[in-house]
Amino acid sequence: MKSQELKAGVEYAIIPAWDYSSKEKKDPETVERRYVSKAELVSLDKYEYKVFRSEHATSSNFNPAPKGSRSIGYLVKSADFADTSRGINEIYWLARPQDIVAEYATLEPKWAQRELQEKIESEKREAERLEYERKQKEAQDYVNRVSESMRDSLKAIIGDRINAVRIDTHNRRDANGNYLPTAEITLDLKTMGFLIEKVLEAKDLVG
Amino acid sequence: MSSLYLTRLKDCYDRHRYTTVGWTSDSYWQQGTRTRLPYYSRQTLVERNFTEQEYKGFQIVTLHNRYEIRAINDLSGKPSVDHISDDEIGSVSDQAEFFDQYGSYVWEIGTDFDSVANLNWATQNCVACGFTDKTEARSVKKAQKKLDHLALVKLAKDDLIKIADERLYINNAENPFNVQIDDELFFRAFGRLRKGKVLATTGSRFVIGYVTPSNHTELKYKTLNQVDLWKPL
Repeated sequence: MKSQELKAGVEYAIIPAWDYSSKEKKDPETVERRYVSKAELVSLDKYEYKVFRSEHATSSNFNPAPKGSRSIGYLVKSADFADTSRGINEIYWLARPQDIVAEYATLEPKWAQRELQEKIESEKREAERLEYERKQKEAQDYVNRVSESMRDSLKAIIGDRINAVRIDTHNRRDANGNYLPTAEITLDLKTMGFLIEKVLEAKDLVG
Repeated sequence: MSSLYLTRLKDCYDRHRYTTVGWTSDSYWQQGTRTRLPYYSRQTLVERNFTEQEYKGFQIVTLHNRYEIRAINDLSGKPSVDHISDDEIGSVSDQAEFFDQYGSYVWEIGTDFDSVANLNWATQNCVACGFTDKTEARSVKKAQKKLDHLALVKLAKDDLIKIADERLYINNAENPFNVQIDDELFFRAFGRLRKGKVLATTGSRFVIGYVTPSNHTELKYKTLNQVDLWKPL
């Protein structure tokens, strides 16, 4: 922001002096909540810019800027970096005008809107994922059930030879392109021959 | 009276196959820049000068090249925008334009390397080179900006050698809360965390000087943000 637009006592979204500053972070349209801290402009006095943070506003490292200096910073304070274990509630540092992105209150609704949108999309994606998983489980259960009943039926016909029959499940695409579990039965020649004999015997009995 | 650095560089330019006055090239790229010329042109090196100055214990040798540019016409007599082969060249324009290019080489004064009489290549053992620009003043200013930092590294060299081999692993490190001049901190360089000394600030970043354990001669520094500096937990 421009120095003329700044107001003391107002909370701004400010890129911390010790962090990277970038075009994306400085732009109010693209800045994200995680890039900035919520900090209050303590005064409009110009300080000699320095990367330094302190618990006290009166630190000897915060020196007034010489007249005409181009490297200036404004004293700001934030509770974002509070460390209660060390008894630190607020941190003071010097922020360059270009690191002060915009008034926090103007950005907050934008972020809230964006976050809400993201939450809705995320919930939608999650619901879609759960529905997909449910369908997959349903299909898998169906295949397992059919396989088991097929095995039981075959056992009634071929007896202990059922141990030589293998039922495998693979995922295959159906005609609609859905990736679904499909069961396959593998028989050896002896078992197949035995099964044919049984079928022919049954045919004779019927005939 | 030329310094040994200038004499040696001039000699190197004469002995090796560097471009000499009269050198000519056909191209649509302006020689030594990333600027595309409006027409496919013949560029000739018409003048070369060297100047030098001492700065904070370093010798800055500035090279000035002056090129003449003439548009190349095709067989119909019109200048061509794109490349044309030699057999398609009709003539070369009578109208000449000139452009000047400056670049600087920097050597540290008073090192063992001063005893080397002949350079094998122009940048051999120089501490910095490049700084190309359109004016001599700007080229020298760029070099001086770098030398301001290198002079600080040179002053702190003994301390830097002592701490060069200290190690720290990132799992046992944290960012310092504040960084002050003369702090000894770790940062990433050449594949691991290395220890250096904070020598100056550039406003938002810190100039940290260091040397590697295997090379105490080369003065090195990095300009880093506070989040890229580390100290033991």
